[in-house]
Amino acid sequence: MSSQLAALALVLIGTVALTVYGMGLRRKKPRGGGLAPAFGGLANEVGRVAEEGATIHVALGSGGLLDENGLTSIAALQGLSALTELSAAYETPPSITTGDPTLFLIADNQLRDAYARLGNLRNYKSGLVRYTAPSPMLYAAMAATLCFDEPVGTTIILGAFDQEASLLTSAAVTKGEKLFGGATSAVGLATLYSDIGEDQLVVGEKMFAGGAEVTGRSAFLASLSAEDLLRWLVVAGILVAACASLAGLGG
Amino acid sequence: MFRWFIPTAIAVVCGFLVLLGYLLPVPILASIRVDLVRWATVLGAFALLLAYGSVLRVHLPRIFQKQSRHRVASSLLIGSAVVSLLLVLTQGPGGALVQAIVKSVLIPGESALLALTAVTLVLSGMRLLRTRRHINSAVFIAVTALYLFIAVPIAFPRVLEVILQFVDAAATGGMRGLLLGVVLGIVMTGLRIILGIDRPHSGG
Repeated sequence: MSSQLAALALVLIGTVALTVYGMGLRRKKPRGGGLAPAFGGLANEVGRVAEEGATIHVALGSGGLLDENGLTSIAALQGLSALTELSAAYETPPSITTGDPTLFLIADNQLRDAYARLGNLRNYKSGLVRYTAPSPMLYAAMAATLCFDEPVGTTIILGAFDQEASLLTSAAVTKGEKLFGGATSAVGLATLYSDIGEDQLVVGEKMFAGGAEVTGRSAFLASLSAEDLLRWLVVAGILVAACASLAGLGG
Repeated sequence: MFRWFIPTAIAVVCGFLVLLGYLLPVPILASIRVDLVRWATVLGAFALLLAYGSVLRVHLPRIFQKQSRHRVASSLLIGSAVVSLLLVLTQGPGGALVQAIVKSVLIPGESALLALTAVTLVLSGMRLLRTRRHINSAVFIAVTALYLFIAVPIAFPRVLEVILQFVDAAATGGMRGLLLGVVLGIVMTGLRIILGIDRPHSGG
Protein backbone atom coordinates (compact mmCIF):
# COMPACT_ATOMS: atom_id res chain seq x y z
CA MET A 1 0.00 0.00 0.00
CA SER A 2 2.73 2.49 1.00
CA SER A 3 4.80 1.55 -2.05
CA GLN A 4 1.73 2.13 -4.27
CA LEU A 5 1.24 5.58 -2.75
CA ALA A 6 4.94 6.39 -3.23
CA ALA A 7 4.65 5.33 -6.89
CA LEU A 8 1.50 7.44 -7.30
CA ALA A 9 3.27 10.46 -5.79
CA LEU A 10 6.24 9.90 -8.14
CA VAL A 11 3.93 9.71 -11.16
CA LEU A 12 2.02 12.86 -10.15
CA ILE A 13 5.21 14.84 -9.52
CA GLY A 14 6.60 13.58 -12.84
CA THR A 15 3.44 14.66 -14.69
CA VAL A 16 3.44 18.15 -13.15
CA ALA A 17 7.20 18.56 -13.75
CA LEU A 18 6.85 17.40 -17.37
CA THR A 19 4.08 19.93 -17.99
CA VAL A 20 5.88 22.84 -16.29
CA TYR A 21 9.29 22.16 -17.90
CA GLY A 22 7.61 21.53 -21.26
CA MET A 23 5.85 24.90 -21.21
CA GLY A 24 9.07 26.65 -20.14
CA LEU A 25 11.16 25.02 -22.87
CA ARG A 26 8.62 25.81 -25.62
CA ARG A 27 9.32 29.49 -25.15
CA LYS A 28 13.12 29.07 -25.15
CA LYS A 29 13.84 27.20 -28.44
CA PRO A 30 15.62 24.19 -26.92
CA ARG A 31 18.69 22.43 -28.27
CA GLY A 32 19.41 18.76 -27.75
CA GLY A 33 23.14 18.41 -28.51
CA GLY A 34 25.57 16.76 -26.10
CA LEU A 35 23.03 14.78 -24.06
CA ALA A 36 23.91 11.38 -25.50
CA PRO A 37 26.69 11.84 -28.08
CA ALA A 38 26.53 8.23 -29.29
CA PHE A 39 23.07 8.91 -30.75
CA GLY A 40 24.36 12.05 -32.48
CA GLY A 41 26.93 10.00 -34.39
CA LEU A 42 24.43 7.46 -35.70
CA ALA A 43 22.98 9.66 -38.44
CA ASN A 44 26.50 10.26 -39.86
CA GLU A 45 26.77 6.54 -40.49
CA VAL A 46 24.07 6.77 -43.18
CA GLY A 47 26.32 8.81 -45.47
CA ARG A 48 29.37 6.68 -44.70
CA VAL A 49 27.75 3.33 -45.51
CA ALA A 50 26.03 4.83 -48.56
CA GLU A 51 29.47 5.78 -49.94
CA GLU A 52 30.72 2.25 -49.27
CA GLY A 53 27.68 0.71 -50.95
CA ALA A 54 26.84 -1.07 -47.71
CA THR A 55 23.87 -1.04 -45.32
CA ILE A 56 23.24 -0.49 -41.63
CA HIS A 57 22.01 -3.35 -39.48
CA VAL A 58 19.95 -2.23 -36.50
CA ALA A 59 19.43 -4.96 -33.90
CA LEU A 60 16.64 -3.93 -31.54
CA GLY A 61 16.61 -7.01 -29.32
CA SER A 62 13.73 -8.90 -27.82
CA GLY A 63 12.13 -6.24 -25.60
CA GLY A 64 8.47 -6.36 -26.57
CA LEU A 65 5.65 -3.95 -25.77
CA LEU A 66 3.95 -6.50 -23.53
CA ASP A 67 6.89 -7.00 -21.18
CA GLU A 68 8.95 -4.83 -18.87
CA ASN A 69 11.46 -3.93 -21.60
CA GLY A 70 8.89 -2.35 -23.92
CA LEU A 71 9.70 1.25 -23.07
CA THR A 72 13.44 0.61 -23.39
CA SER A 73 12.83 -0.57 -26.95
CA ILE A 74 10.63 2.47 -27.68
CA ALA A 75 13.34 4.79 -26.31
CA ALA A 76 15.90 3.05 -28.53
CA LEU A 77 13.66 3.57 -31.57
CA GLN A 78 13.22 7.26 -30.71
CA GLY A 79 17.01 7.62 -30.61
CA LEU A 80 17.14 6.06 -34.06
CA SER A 81 14.54 8.40 -35.58
CA ALA A 82 17.13 10.70 -37.19
CA LEU A 83 18.86 7.69 -38.72
CA THR A 84 15.63 6.27 -40.18
CA GLU A 85 14.62 9.64 -41.64
CA LEU A 86 18.01 10.23 -43.20
CA SER A 87 18.06 6.66 -44.53
CA ALA A 88 14.68 7.24 -46.14
CA ALA A 89 15.90 10.50 -47.68
CA TYR A 90 19.06 8.90 -49.12
CA GLU A 91 17.22 5.69 -50.02
CA THR A 92 19.74 3.61 -48.11
CA PRO A 93 17.32 1.92 -45.72
CA PRO A 94 18.68 0.04 -42.72
CA SER A 95 17.97 -3.65 -42.10
CA ILE A 96 16.17 -3.77 -38.78
CA THR A 97 15.86 -7.03 -36.86
CA THR A 98 13.67 -7.63 -33.83
CA GLY A 99 13.05 -10.60 -31.56
CA ASP A 100 9.53 -9.62 -30.59
CA PRO A 101 6.44 -9.35 -32.82
CA THR A 102 5.06 -6.19 -31.19
CA LEU A 103 8.42 -4.46 -31.53
CA PHE A 104 8.51 -5.61 -35.16
CA LEU A 105 5.25 -3.74 -35.82
CA ILE A 106 6.42 -0.53 -34.10
CA ALA A 107 9.77 -0.55 -35.94
CA ASP A 108 8.07 -1.24 -39.27
CA ASN A 109 5.67 1.63 -38.58
CA GLN A 110 8.53 4.02 -37.78
CA LEU A 111 10.43 3.22 -40.96
CA ARG A 112 7.27 3.40 -43.06
CA ASP A 113 6.40 6.81 -41.53
CA ALA A 114 9.89 8.11 -42.31
CA TYR A 115 9.26 7.31 -45.99
CA ALA A 116 5.70 8.70 -45.83
CA ARG A 117 6.87 12.04 -44.38
CA LEU A 118 9.15 12.45 -47.38
CA GLY A 119 6.32 11.54 -49.77
CA ASN A 120 8.36 8.54 -50.87
CA LEU A 121 6.17 5.70 -49.59
CA ARG A 122 6.26 3.99 -53.00
CA ASN A 123 9.90 3.07 -52.43
CA TYR A 124 9.32 1.52 -49.03
CA LYS A 125 9.99 -2.23 -49.02
CA SER A 126 8.17 -4.27 -46.39
CA GLY A 127 11.02 -6.75 -45.80
CA LEU A 128 13.37 -4.14 -44.32
CA VAL A 129 12.19 -4.84 -40.78
CA ARG A 130 12.45 -8.50 -39.89
CA TYR A 131 11.23 -10.61 -37.04
CA THR A 132 13.88 -13.29 -36.63
CA ALA A 133 13.14 -15.51 -33.61
CA PRO A 134 11.09 -15.46 -30.41
CA SER A 135 13.78 -16.09 -27.76
CA PRO A 136 16.68 -13.66 -27.11
CA MET A 137 19.43 -16.23 -27.74
CA LEU A 138 17.92 -17.50 -31.01
CA TYR A 139 17.21 -13.93 -32.06
CA ALA A 140 20.84 -12.90 -31.59
CA ALA A 141 22.11 -15.98 -33.44
CA MET A 142 19.76 -15.39 -36.38
CA ALA A 143 20.40 -11.63 -36.50
CA ALA A 144 24.16 -12.27 -36.45
CA THR A 145 23.88 -14.23 -39.70
CA LEU A 146 22.74 -11.01 -41.40
CA CYS A 147 26.33 -9.72 -41.15
CA PHE A 148 27.43 -12.55 -43.42
CA ASP A 149 24.42 -12.57 -45.76
CA GLU A 150 24.30 -8.85 -46.57
CA PRO A 151 26.87 -6.11 -47.15
CA VAL A 152 26.52 -4.59 -43.68
CA GLY A 153 28.89 -1.69 -42.96
CA THR A 154 27.66 -0.69 -39.52
CA THR A 155 25.87 -2.66 -36.84
CA ILE A 156 23.82 -0.86 -34.18
CA ILE A 157 22.83 -3.00 -31.18
CA LEU A 158 20.38 -0.95 -29.20
CA GLY A 159 17.62 -1.99 -26.81
CA ALA A 160 17.00 -4.69 -24.23
CA PHE A 161 20.01 -7.00 -24.43
CA ASP A 162 21.84 -9.35 -22.09
CA GLN A 163 24.79 -11.64 -22.82
CA GLU A 164 23.30 -12.73 -26.17
CA ALA A 165 24.58 -9.41 -27.58
CA SER A 166 28.05 -10.99 -27.69
CA LEU A 167 26.93 -13.19 -30.62
CA LEU A 168 26.09 -10.02 -32.57
CA THR A 169 29.23 -8.10 -31.60
CA SER A 170 31.40 -11.11 -32.38
CA ALA A 171 29.93 -11.45 -35.89
CA ALA A 172 30.26 -7.71 -36.52
CA VAL A 173 33.90 -7.60 -35.35
CA THR A 174 34.74 -10.65 -37.47
CA LYS A 175 33.36 -8.85 -40.53
CA GLY A 176 35.17 -5.61 -39.64
CA GLU A 177 31.99 -3.56 -39.25
CA LYS A 178 31.69 -0.37 -37.27
CA LEU A 179 29.79 -0.94 -34.04
CA PHE A 180 27.41 1.25 -32.04
CA GLY A 181 25.27 0.04 -29.20
CA GLY A 182 23.68 0.38 -25.85
CA ALA A 183 21.74 -1.50 -23.24
CA THR A 184 20.04 -0.82 -19.94
CA SER A 185 21.00 -3.98 -18.06
CA ALA A 186 24.35 -4.44 -16.34
CA VAL A 187 24.93 -7.77 -18.09
CA GLY A 188 24.16 -6.29 -21.50
CA LEU A 189 26.45 -3.32 -20.90
CA ALA A 190 29.33 -5.50 -19.70
CA THR A 191 28.93 -7.59 -22.84
CA LEU A 192 28.89 -4.59 -25.18
CA TYR A 193 31.65 -2.67 -23.38
CA SER A 194 34.48 -4.88 -24.58
CA ASP A 195 33.70 -4.48 -28.29
CA ILE A 196 32.15 -1.03 -28.53
CA GLY A 197 34.15 2.14 -27.93
CA GLU A 198 33.09 4.36 -25.04
CA ASP A 199 32.03 7.13 -27.45
CA GLN A 200 29.76 4.74 -29.33
CA LEU A 201 28.23 3.11 -26.25
CA VAL A 202 24.91 4.20 -24.76
CA VAL A 203 25.00 3.42 -21.05
CA GLY A 204 21.83 2.83 -19.00
CA GLU A 205 19.66 5.92 -18.65
CA LYS A 206 21.34 7.63 -21.65
CA MET A 207 19.12 5.35 -23.74
CA PHE A 208 16.21 7.60 -22.75
CA ALA A 209 18.05 10.77 -23.84
CA GLY A 210 18.32 9.61 -27.46
CA GLY A 211 15.06 11.22 -28.58
CA ALA A 212 16.12 14.56 -27.06
CA GLU A 213 19.59 14.34 -28.62
CA VAL A 214 18.46 13.67 -32.17
CA THR A 215 15.20 15.66 -32.35
CA GLY A 216 15.75 18.48 -29.82
CA ARG A 217 11.98 18.45 -29.18
CA SER A 218 10.93 20.37 -26.08
CA ALA A 219 8.84 17.42 -24.81
CA PHE A 220 11.88 15.14 -24.75
CA LEU A 221 14.07 17.76 -23.07
CA ALA A 222 11.35 18.51 -20.52
CA SER A 223 11.14 14.81 -19.73
CA LEU A 224 14.91 14.75 -19.04
CA SER A 225 14.61 17.73 -16.69
CA ALA A 226 11.68 16.06 -14.90
CA GLU A 227 13.77 12.88 -14.66
CA ASP A 228 16.56 14.86 -12.97
CA LEU A 229 14.08 16.34 -10.50
CA LEU A 230 12.68 12.89 -9.67
CA ARG A 231 16.22 11.56 -9.24
CA TRP A 232 17.01 14.22 -6.64
CA LEU A 233 13.74 13.48 -4.84
CA VAL A 234 14.56 9.75 -4.76
CA VAL A 235 18.10 10.51 -3.51
CA ALA A 236 16.64 12.75 -0.79
CA GLY A 237 14.17 9.98 0.12
CA ILE A 238 17.00 7.43 0.40
CA LEU A 239 19.02 9.79 2.63
CA VAL A 240 16.02 10.50 4.88
CA ALA A 241 15.24 6.78 5.13
CA ALA A 242 18.89 6.00 5.96
CA CYS A 243 19.03 8.74 8.65
CA ALA A 244 15.71 7.56 10.11
CA SER A 245 16.99 3.99 10.19
CA LEU A 246 20.21 5.11 11.94
CA ALA A 247 18.16 7.03 14.50
CA GLY A 248 16.04 3.92 15.12
CA LEU A 249 12.85 5.41 13.66
CA GLY A 250 10.36 3.63 11.41
CA GLY A 251 11.53 0.04 12.14
CA MET B 1 -6.69 13.24 -38.19
CA PHE B 2 -8.10 9.67 -37.80
CA ARG B 3 -4.64 8.32 -38.63
CA TRP B 4 -3.27 9.57 -35.32
CA PHE B 5 -6.24 10.74 -33.22
CA ILE B 6 -8.03 7.41 -32.65
CA PRO B 7 -4.89 5.34 -31.82
CA THR B 8 -3.66 8.13 -29.53
CA ALA B 9 -7.04 8.43 -27.76
CA ILE B 10 -7.18 4.66 -27.22
CA ALA B 11 -3.57 4.58 -25.96
CA VAL B 12 -4.13 7.50 -23.56
CA VAL B 13 -7.39 6.15 -22.09
CA CYS B 14 -6.10 2.57 -21.76
CA GLY B 15 -2.76 3.78 -20.36
CA PHE B 16 -4.47 5.89 -17.70
CA LEU B 17 -6.83 3.08 -16.70
CA VAL B 18 -4.04 0.50 -16.42
CA LEU B 19 -1.83 2.91 -14.45
CA LEU B 20 -4.65 3.83 -12.05
CA GLY B 21 -5.50 0.13 -11.69
CA TYR B 22 -1.95 -0.47 -10.47
CA LEU B 23 -1.70 2.57 -8.21
CA LEU B 24 -5.13 2.96 -6.63
CA PRO B 25 -6.66 0.27 -4.40
CA VAL B 26 -10.06 0.42 -6.17
CA PRO B 27 -11.42 -3.05 -7.13
CA ILE B 28 -13.21 -1.89 -10.30
CA LEU B 29 -10.02 -0.26 -11.63
CA ALA B 30 -8.06 -3.44 -10.88
CA SER B 31 -10.61 -5.50 -12.79
CA ILE B 32 -10.51 -3.08 -15.77
CA ARG B 33 -6.72 -3.29 -15.72
CA VAL B 34 -6.78 -7.10 -15.84
CA ASP B 35 -9.22 -7.03 -18.78
CA LEU B 36 -7.19 -4.45 -20.72
CA VAL B 37 -3.96 -6.39 -20.19
CA ARG B 38 -5.73 -9.54 -21.40
CA TRP B 39 -6.91 -7.72 -24.53
CA ALA B 40 -3.36 -6.50 -25.10
CA THR B 41 -2.13 -10.10 -24.93
CA VAL B 42 -4.69 -11.09 -27.59
CA LEU B 43 -3.48 -8.21 -29.78
CA GLY B 44 0.07 -9.46 -29.15
CA ALA B 45 -0.96 -12.83 -30.59
CA PHE B 46 -2.14 -11.05 -33.76
CA ALA B 47 1.19 -9.22 -33.87
CA LEU B 48 2.87 -12.64 -33.78
CA LEU B 49 0.82 -13.75 -36.79
CA LEU B 50 1.82 -10.61 -38.70
CA ALA B 51 5.47 -11.14 -37.76
CA TYR B 52 5.37 -14.75 -38.99
CA GLY B 53 3.69 -13.48 -42.15
CA SER B 54 6.69 -11.22 -42.66
CA VAL B 55 9.06 -14.17 -42.13
CA LEU B 56 7.19 -16.08 -44.84
CA ARG B 57 7.24 -13.05 -47.15
CA VAL B 58 11.04 -12.81 -46.84
CA HIS B 59 11.80 -16.54 -47.12
CA LEU B 60 9.20 -17.97 -49.53
CA PRO B 61 10.56 -16.18 -52.65
CA ARG B 62 14.06 -17.39 -51.79
CA ILE B 63 13.01 -21.04 -52.10
CA PHE B 64 11.95 -20.52 -55.69
CA GLN B 65 15.07 -18.54 -56.71
CA LYS B 66 17.37 -21.02 -58.46
CA GLN B 67 20.61 -19.14 -57.76
CA SER B 68 19.77 -18.14 -54.20
CA ARG B 69 22.38 -18.91 -51.52
CA HIS B 70 19.60 -19.01 -48.95
CA ARG B 71 17.51 -21.69 -50.65
CA VAL B 72 18.33 -24.47 -48.18
CA ALA B 73 18.06 -22.26 -45.08
CA SER B 74 14.75 -20.80 -46.19
CA SER B 75 13.34 -24.23 -47.08
CA LEU B 76 14.36 -25.53 -43.65
CA LEU B 77 12.79 -22.54 -41.91
CA ILE B 78 9.52 -22.75 -43.81
CA GLY B 79 9.40 -26.54 -43.42
CA SER B 80 9.95 -26.40 -39.67
CA ALA B 81 7.35 -23.63 -39.30
CA VAL B 82 4.75 -25.67 -41.22
CA VAL B 83 5.49 -28.85 -39.24
CA SER B 84 5.36 -26.95 -35.91
CA LEU B 85 2.06 -25.34 -36.87
CA LEU B 86 0.54 -28.68 -37.91
CA LEU B 87 1.70 -30.34 -34.69
CA VAL B 88 0.41 -27.53 -32.48
CA LEU B 89 -2.94 -27.52 -34.32
CA THR B 90 -3.37 -31.30 -34.13
CA GLN B 91 -1.85 -32.05 -30.68
CA GLY B 92 -1.89 -28.69 -28.89
CA PRO B 93 1.19 -27.12 -27.25
CA GLY B 94 1.34 -29.90 -24.63
CA GLY B 95 1.29 -32.77 -27.17
CA ALA B 96 3.86 -35.57 -26.87
CA LEU B 97 5.57 -34.86 -30.20
CA VAL B 98 5.61 -31.09 -29.62
CA GLN B 99 7.20 -31.60 -26.20
CA ALA B 100 9.71 -34.04 -27.66
CA ILE B 101 10.76 -31.44 -30.27
CA VAL B 102 11.05 -28.75 -27.58
CA LYS B 103 13.12 -31.01 -25.29
CA SER B 104 15.36 -32.58 -27.92
CA VAL B 105 15.83 -29.73 -30.42
CA LEU B 106 14.99 -26.29 -29.04
CA ILE B 107 16.35 -26.56 -25.48
CA PRO B 108 19.69 -28.20 -26.48
CA GLY B 109 20.02 -25.66 -29.33
CA GLU B 110 19.56 -22.71 -27.00
CA SER B 111 21.89 -24.26 -24.43
CA ALA B 112 24.56 -24.63 -27.09
CA LEU B 113 24.16 -20.97 -28.04
CA LEU B 114 24.40 -19.96 -24.37
CA ALA B 115 27.62 -21.96 -24.09
CA LEU B 116 28.86 -20.24 -27.24
CA THR B 117 28.41 -16.83 -25.60
CA ALA B 118 30.98 -17.86 -22.99
CA VAL B 119 33.50 -18.30 -25.81
CA THR B 120 32.54 -15.06 -27.56
CA LEU B 121 32.78 -13.15 -24.25
CA VAL B 122 36.29 -14.47 -23.56
CA LEU B 123 37.31 -13.56 -27.11
CA SER B 124 35.93 -10.02 -26.78
CA GLY B 125 37.77 -9.65 -23.46
CA MET B 126 41.00 -10.58 -25.22
CA ARG B 127 40.23 -8.15 -28.05
CA LEU B 128 39.66 -5.41 -25.49
CA LEU B 129 43.18 -5.87 -24.11
CA ARG B 130 44.61 -5.66 -27.61
CA THR B 131 42.59 -2.81 -29.11
CA ARG B 132 41.77 -0.39 -26.28
CA ARG B 133 44.74 -0.04 -23.95
CA HIS B 134 43.17 2.31 -21.48
CA ILE B 135 42.83 2.50 -17.71
CA ASN B 136 39.07 1.77 -17.94
CA SER B 137 39.72 -1.38 -19.97
CA ALA B 138 42.34 -2.51 -17.42
CA VAL B 139 39.88 -1.99 -14.53
CA PHE B 140 37.15 -3.84 -16.46
CA ILE B 141 39.40 -6.84 -17.12
CA ALA B 142 40.80 -6.82 -13.56
CA VAL B 143 37.32 -6.87 -11.97
CA THR B 144 36.14 -9.60 -14.36
CA ALA B 145 39.21 -11.73 -13.60
CA LEU B 146 38.74 -11.15 -9.86
CA TYR B 147 35.12 -12.27 -10.05
CA LEU B 148 36.04 -15.39 -12.00
CA PHE B 149 38.80 -16.19 -9.50
CA ILE B 150 36.42 -15.73 -6.56
CA ALA B 151 33.70 -17.82 -8.22
CA VAL B 152 35.99 -20.86 -8.08
CA PRO B 153 37.80 -20.56 -4.73
CA ILE B 154 40.76 -22.89 -5.19
CA ALA B 155 42.88 -21.34 -2.43
CA PHE B 156 42.55 -18.84 0.44
CA PRO B 157 38.74 -19.15 0.85
CA ARG B 158 38.66 -16.78 3.88
CA VAL B 159 40.57 -14.02 2.07
CA LEU B 160 38.43 -14.47 -1.03
CA GLU B 161 35.27 -14.22 1.06
CA VAL B 162 36.34 -10.80 2.37
CA ILE B 163 37.24 -9.62 -1.14
CA LEU B 164 33.89 -10.95 -2.42
CA GLN B 165 32.01 -8.93 0.20
CA PHE B 166 33.85 -5.76 -0.87
CA VAL B 167 33.32 -6.41 -4.59
CA ASP B 168 29.65 -7.31 -4.03
CA ALA B 169 29.02 -4.08 -2.11
CA ALA B 170 30.60 -1.99 -4.89
CA ALA B 171 28.81 -3.93 -7.65
CA THR B 172 25.42 -3.75 -5.90
CA GLY B 173 25.79 0.00 -5.40
CA GLY B 174 26.67 0.50 -9.05
CA MET B 175 23.81 -1.72 -10.24
CA ARG B 176 21.31 0.15 -8.06
CA GLY B 177 22.51 3.49 -9.45
CA LEU B 178 22.16 2.18 -12.99
CA LEU B 179 18.73 0.74 -12.24
CA LEU B 180 17.51 3.96 -10.64
CA GLY B 181 18.36 6.00 -13.75
CA VAL B 182 16.79 3.41 -16.06
CA VAL B 183 13.59 3.18 -14.01
CA LEU B 184 13.18 6.96 -13.99
CA GLY B 185 13.76 7.00 -17.75
CA ILE B 186 11.10 4.32 -18.18
CA VAL B 187 8.67 6.27 -15.97
CA MET B 188 9.10 9.46 -18.00
CA THR B 189 8.89 7.65 -21.37
CA GLY B 190 5.69 5.94 -20.19
CA LEU B 191 4.24 9.23 -18.95
CA ARG B 192 4.93 10.91 -22.30
CA ILE B 193 2.97 8.15 -24.06
CA ILE B 194 0.11 8.17 -21.53
CA LEU B 195 -0.18 11.95 -21.80
CA GLY B 196 -0.27 11.70 -25.60
CA ILE B 197 2.93 13.77 -26.04
CA ASP B 198 4.66 10.84 -27.69
CA ARG B 199 2.92 8.61 -30.24
CA PRO B 200 5.17 5.70 -31.23
CA HIS B 201 2.05 3.72 -32.28
CA SER B 202 0.98 6.31 -34.86
CA GLY B 203 4.28 7.73 -36.03
CA GLY B 204 4.43 10.82 -33.80
